[in-house]
Amino acid sequence: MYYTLQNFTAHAKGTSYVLAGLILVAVVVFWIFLNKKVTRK
Amino acid sequence: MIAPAENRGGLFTPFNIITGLILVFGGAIVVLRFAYGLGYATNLTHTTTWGLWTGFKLVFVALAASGYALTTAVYIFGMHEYHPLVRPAVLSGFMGYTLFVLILIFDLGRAWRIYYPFLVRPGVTSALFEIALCVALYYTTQFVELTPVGFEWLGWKRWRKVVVGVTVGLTVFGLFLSMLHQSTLGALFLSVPGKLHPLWYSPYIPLHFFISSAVGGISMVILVGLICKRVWGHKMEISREKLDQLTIGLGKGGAIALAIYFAVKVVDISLANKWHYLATGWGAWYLVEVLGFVLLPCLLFAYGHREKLPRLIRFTALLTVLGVILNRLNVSIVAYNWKFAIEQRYFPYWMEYVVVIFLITLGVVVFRWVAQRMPLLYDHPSYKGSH
Repeated sequence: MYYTLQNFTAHAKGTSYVLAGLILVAVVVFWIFLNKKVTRK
Repeated sequence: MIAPAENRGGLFTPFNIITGLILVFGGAIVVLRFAYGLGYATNLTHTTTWGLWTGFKLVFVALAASGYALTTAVYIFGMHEYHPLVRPAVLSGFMGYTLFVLILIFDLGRAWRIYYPFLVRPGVTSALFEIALCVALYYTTQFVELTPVGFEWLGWKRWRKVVVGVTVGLTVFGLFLSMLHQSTLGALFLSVPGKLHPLWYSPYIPLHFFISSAVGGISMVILVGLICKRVWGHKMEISREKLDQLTIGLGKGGAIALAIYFAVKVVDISLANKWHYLATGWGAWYLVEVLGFVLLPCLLFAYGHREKLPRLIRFTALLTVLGVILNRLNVSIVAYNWKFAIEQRYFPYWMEYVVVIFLITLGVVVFRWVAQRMPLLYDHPSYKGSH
């Protein structure tokens, strides 16, 4: 329970920054997956 | 000169009969709406003033983004290999905006006052005024972009040369206008935080609408290309293999756009700390929309591009279009007035569905009329390779 706006914002933004970091990592993985050339025998 | 329409079995073909019946019946409903008022043809009330027609206004505009999406790719980003799809994409976009204007007139009534926002009482502080102005300008821009098709059909070389010369300028203007009105359609809902469910409401809803319009536009290009090849394959100059290559390329664009959209949606949930809503019934429906119609198509597009699977990409494009339709209807109808008891909720009247089907049929009939007569899917013999 967040009793002040400052506490709420700190929590929400903190979670968002962690998520944004994970998304940046996911972007790199996604880009490699998207562009990797598939060689077929 | 003017090419004759193909003789595909005379006037009374099954397609013509079915579409004719729909147009006659739907047209009658429209006449009744204007004769007896909105209450006769809809279930709208003083508490629910926006209904199915408003929802489909948002749908038509979102899916009409095929025009700006492909012209931007070809004329601004230099992806000229997609040029064969530009004219069908712009025409489908133009038809989307035509249906938007028609359904707006049916909803508002008083069509003779259509010029009021521009000449009589411009509400410059209103989001709706900005939408009206941008849509009017963009509709005009798309019409001008399509005039070379008509000029080639009529043999008006000088007029064609003038318009082709300003294509890049029209594309830039069109992109600028599209970004404005696509996002502002979302911004309309910024004024109703209490009415729209928190999972769909966001201060970033204009951004959501703009990104999903790009997604819908790319998917519509894929589907329009498929339908044109299936129905008028003999007219299309590009081969099936070339169309498959272009589809695979568009799949990559779709994957990237959907990935951005999904990331924006997730960060939005986090910034407003809306996680607890996901554990509710509304949350389950939200997850169906975001996981089933955003994340899943994103992964399918990526896989289809990587493994060079055009059929998978076409199926995914259909899934994406359904997702955009679902999102727009969720925002405007389903999740709107979400706190109301079930007996107070709005459910569309059957006539509203008929009018929507009537308009979609009208769009298909006009598209077909143009594709069968004008150089939409091929280079006119007099101008081969010149545009």
